[in-house]
Amino acid sequence: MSTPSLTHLMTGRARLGLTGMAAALLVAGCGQQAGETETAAAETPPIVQERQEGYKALGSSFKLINDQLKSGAPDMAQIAPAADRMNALAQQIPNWFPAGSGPQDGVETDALETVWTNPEGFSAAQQRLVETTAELQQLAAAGDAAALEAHVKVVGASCGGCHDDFRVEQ
Amino acid sequence: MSSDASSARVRVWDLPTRLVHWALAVLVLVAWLTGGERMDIHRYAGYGILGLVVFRLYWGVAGGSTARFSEFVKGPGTVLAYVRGWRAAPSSFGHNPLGALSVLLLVILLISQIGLGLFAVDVDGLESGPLARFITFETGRKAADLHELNFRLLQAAIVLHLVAIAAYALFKRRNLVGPMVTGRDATAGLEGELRPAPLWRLALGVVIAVLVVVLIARAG
Repeated sequence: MSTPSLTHLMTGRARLGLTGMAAALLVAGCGQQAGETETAAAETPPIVQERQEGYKALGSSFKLINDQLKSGAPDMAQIAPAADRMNALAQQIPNWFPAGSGPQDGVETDALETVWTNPEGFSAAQQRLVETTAELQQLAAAGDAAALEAHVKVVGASCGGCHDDFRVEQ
Repeated sequence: MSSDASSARVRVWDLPTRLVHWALAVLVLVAWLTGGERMDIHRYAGYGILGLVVFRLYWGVAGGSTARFSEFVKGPGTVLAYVRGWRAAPSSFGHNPLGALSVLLLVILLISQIGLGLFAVDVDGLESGPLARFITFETGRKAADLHELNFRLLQAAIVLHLVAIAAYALFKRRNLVGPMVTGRDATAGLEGELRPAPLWRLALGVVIAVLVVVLIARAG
């Protein structure tokens, strides 16, 4: 089985509704923030951009799952592929943090230096996300909405746990 | 305080205005402390603030006279004249022309804070406002960033509000907190009269506020 490409994994993001685009324009129109992003993107190394896109795709897929679960009538046909994307992205995380791409190298990033100084801890946190998203896939395939609702909190905790130690505090 | 002075205490703020004020103070504090930590409580605090602000806007056109925007919001000329003669300015009945701007500022910042919170999404994509499902993850993240930024502005406005209250106590010997608690003001030489709103208007306002909160909470 070949590894799905990142672009393929991010197709979920293409489902950008009209409302979303209008709201995006509105928010982008608020100046400072949009300007900052543009400058940062111009100087950001490709691998950092790739990992930022990867994490956005992770968050986007997880949001889709949570939106579905909150809707009261979750659509497993949407949840299952989103869970697949999350698991595949989680497996790619080790490729996103090569030497020279941290804040200690002068790169503008929300990743903490601990990603590189504590590789065992980071790897364990990444492995945890792979495992929790694998279970997410199984529950989605089984179509068990109640179990999914309980399990998204576990997945969320594996995001948050890693963010606590390896990402700039929000 | 002598019995003469207390008998001169006049009604300034009606009960709904005072309740909304103190409930907002408590819920904004709760929302602040629970934001990013206990999102279940944060969400309910937000719904509470939404209901209070909707009610306060309604009360600003339908409530007791001192709560009405048309009664206390003054033009720039009046505000400027008030600021210039601040030390000698006679005590206002209800909001003074400068305090009126503070009320408007706080209400506007609360509205934008609620609006952004309804669409905000956390960094993991787990927690989100009730209307966030209508927008993308990235737009929701921007809403969350602006929710954070707007909160700093709200904090600054609240500090300004507290500093102003201290300044009135210190330089003008005016107690503004007591009347907001009891509804009655003992300041000498107050000219004005609170014309309270009938009870049915209060009931209507509560119904409107609850409806708005329920509709928005259910949309998510």
